[in-house]
Amino acid sequence: MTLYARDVADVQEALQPGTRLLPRGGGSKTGLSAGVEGAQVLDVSALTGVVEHLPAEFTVTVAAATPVVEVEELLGQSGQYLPFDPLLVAGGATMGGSVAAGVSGPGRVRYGGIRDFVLGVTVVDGTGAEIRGGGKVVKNAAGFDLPKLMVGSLGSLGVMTELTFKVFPAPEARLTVRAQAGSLRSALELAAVLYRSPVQFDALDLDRAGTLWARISGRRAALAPRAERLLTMLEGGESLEESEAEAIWSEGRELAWIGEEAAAVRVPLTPSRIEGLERSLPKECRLRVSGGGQMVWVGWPAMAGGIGPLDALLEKIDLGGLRVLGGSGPRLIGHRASRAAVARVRGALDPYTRLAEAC
Amino acid sequence: MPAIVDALLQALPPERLLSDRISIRAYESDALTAYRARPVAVVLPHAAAEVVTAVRLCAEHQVPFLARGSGTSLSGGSLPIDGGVVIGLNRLDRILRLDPDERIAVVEPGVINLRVSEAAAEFGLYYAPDPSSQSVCTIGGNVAFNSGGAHCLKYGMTSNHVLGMKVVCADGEICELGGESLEGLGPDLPGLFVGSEGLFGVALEVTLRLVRRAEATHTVLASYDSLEQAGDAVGRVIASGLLPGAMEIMDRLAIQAAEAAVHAGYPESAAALLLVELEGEAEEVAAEAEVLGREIAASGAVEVRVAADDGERDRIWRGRKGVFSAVGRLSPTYIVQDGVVPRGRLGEALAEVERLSEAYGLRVANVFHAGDGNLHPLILYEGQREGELERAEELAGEILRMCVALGGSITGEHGVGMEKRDYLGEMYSDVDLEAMSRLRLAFDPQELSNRGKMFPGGEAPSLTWHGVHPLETAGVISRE
Repeated sequence: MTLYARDVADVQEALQPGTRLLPRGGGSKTGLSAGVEGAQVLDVSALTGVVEHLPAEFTVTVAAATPVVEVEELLGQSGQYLPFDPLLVAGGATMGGSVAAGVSGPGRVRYGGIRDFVLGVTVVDGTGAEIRGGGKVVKNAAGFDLPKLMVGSLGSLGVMTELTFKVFPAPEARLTVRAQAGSLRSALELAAVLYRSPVQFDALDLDRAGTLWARISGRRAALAPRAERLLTMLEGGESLEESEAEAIWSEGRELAWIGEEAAAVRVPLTPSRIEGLERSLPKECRLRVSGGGQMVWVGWPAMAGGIGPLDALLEKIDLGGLRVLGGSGPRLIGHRASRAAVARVRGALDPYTRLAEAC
Repeated sequence: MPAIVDALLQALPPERLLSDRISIRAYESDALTAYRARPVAVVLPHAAAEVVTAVRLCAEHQVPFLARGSGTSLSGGSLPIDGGVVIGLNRLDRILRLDPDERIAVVEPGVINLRVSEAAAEFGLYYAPDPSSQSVCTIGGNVAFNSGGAHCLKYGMTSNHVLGMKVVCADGEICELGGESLEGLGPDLPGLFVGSEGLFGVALEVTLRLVRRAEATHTVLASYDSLEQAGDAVGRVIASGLLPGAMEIMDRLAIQAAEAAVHAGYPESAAALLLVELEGEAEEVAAEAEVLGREIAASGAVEVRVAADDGERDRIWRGRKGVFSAVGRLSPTYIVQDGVVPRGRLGEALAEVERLSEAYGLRVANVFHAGDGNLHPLILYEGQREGELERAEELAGEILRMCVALGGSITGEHGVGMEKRDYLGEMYSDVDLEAMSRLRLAFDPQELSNRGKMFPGGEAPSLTWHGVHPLETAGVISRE
């Protein structure tokens, strides 16, 4: 049975002894919010609305379950955007869900991921206390950084009710180039060359076949000469029409390339670990290197044993993953670092374990 | 001999320990020189294992401890605890790994901020957070207080550049937090630890993100007849859609002090100076510079200078970064404030600071990171004059309350420390603070690590005039 919360009082009311709640906003990340064993869903999707957008301050404050699409639309009217590039926007993702999942899209390369843009939070912790952390200004060093702690918490430390984000002016123009390197290894080498150059990307993705997509953005007047330099480095790359480019990045953001049947698992890593991961994965497994080589999305096909084999495989190579879409079983798989410290934080904010654990 | 000193002597090589009054004197204070406290011993570990030993012994003997680096905290964050132990981390100063392809550096906590950038320079990389004391302050201290600098709006503070850590919790357990990727898994623990003011434990290793040095930099210095005009110019630049790497403002008193000390070539008659810096790909910077030029031209600037080369750029920045020590020429004693206000209310805030300055009869010089609304009023006072320090503190308190009332923060980058702990309650409710206290206890059940900092209340050391920090007199550090 799903519980519904319309306000903070409802959330507090729901945190009864013996419960094990899993907060859910838009439910777009099916792997994270559906079918968590023993957990009762607390639907907070009614907690919507923009509280305050101050364009001159580069800040926006929203109720936690405000859909990302609404926020992006509002920011767009002032020529601003969310540089961490939230995922599953068309899929109904909410701002709070994006923070809880701690995931960012392909466009995170230039200015950072969601952790770099969350400034303030109001959260009802496991004891029912309504806590405010952080602030509503772009720079603040007062008190513990609770907003960052919520990033990736999967709802296990509290139910977020309000959030403040830093936003940036949107670039005047964007341009995407594509190159076929022939193999993932060659594409990685190419990416490394680009990274050693002065070119500033805002997105850089690769696929298993060795396709490389890179996007630059900025002043319209500078884009053509910048693109020319980039294409020279790529030898044989091509710049894409705007509609085609938009389709590529939207596919990455919406994880559409994964397909209906597969589970989408995000593996954070550094560029040098990518080849090792790729070698360990079965051939039928699709993957996309995203965010400039700081994460790999694995499309894990439906198979006997579910996510289990991927869990084991990641564990073996010392990597961890988050099952964001589809599948069943644990949400965090493979190697899990920081367990001891996570347990301490849980003990502080949810001492009676009324919230579902992040696992 | 106190039992803890005996235990430390037993467990560590004797030369790691200072316990005589003369040797520990240097550790009695930090850059907030108004406070002083006497530790019972100072441990100077050479290896992480020795830090862990010291922490475990303190936990066993229930003795409070403070881990510190170069002691440049402006909020009294590295003030020792009376009768406690100081763990000085400056000798843990190794860069353990620097990987240019992964763009990370794994460092010990005693590594000096600027050394990371120097080591990364040959690969065209650098470590972005640049507090003004970067030539002496350590990464461990930067981590504890989430240090900032002049480039925070675009690139963030220390917390945006720390990917992973190995820490010893105050109860002696070693924990790994985060990793090497810019993307995380599970709750963002490095995010929680950075800026925790040493209340959870001690960092043993820190994994830092390195960024590529920009191809081109464009630095503009504009002078104005009033602070208000300079503030409005910032609003214009922001409204134009530009995202400068830095935007700094100095008022008349600050300009004169900087000019006298550094000879930066600032127009001394100006009431306010605005410094704007763009950086990025050459073509992009050129296009942005055109937009910036138009906005500045329309902003009523009296004089506009564009740095012709790196030499001129360095001179401009030297003046800016040296303002605080330069103000020391006007008055040897001053308090540096660090409040934040919404950028749109900068004008209002500055007018109020001016009013307060007059009301208290104390001079205030203003230097601030205009891009992110981070004010640094310098309150000048005569330390030897009876009651003047107290009045300066009172004035500082009023400024902090104003920042909160305008919707800002009591600290942008210096942290709460000892100095602002009584104001934390202005920003957060008792419920908020209680939750933060639960987090503190989860890592430090005996409240040993940096006891007495950040949280309101608790025993305060005596507040007295002790003059200028010796390093400051030597021109090595500045209060910013």
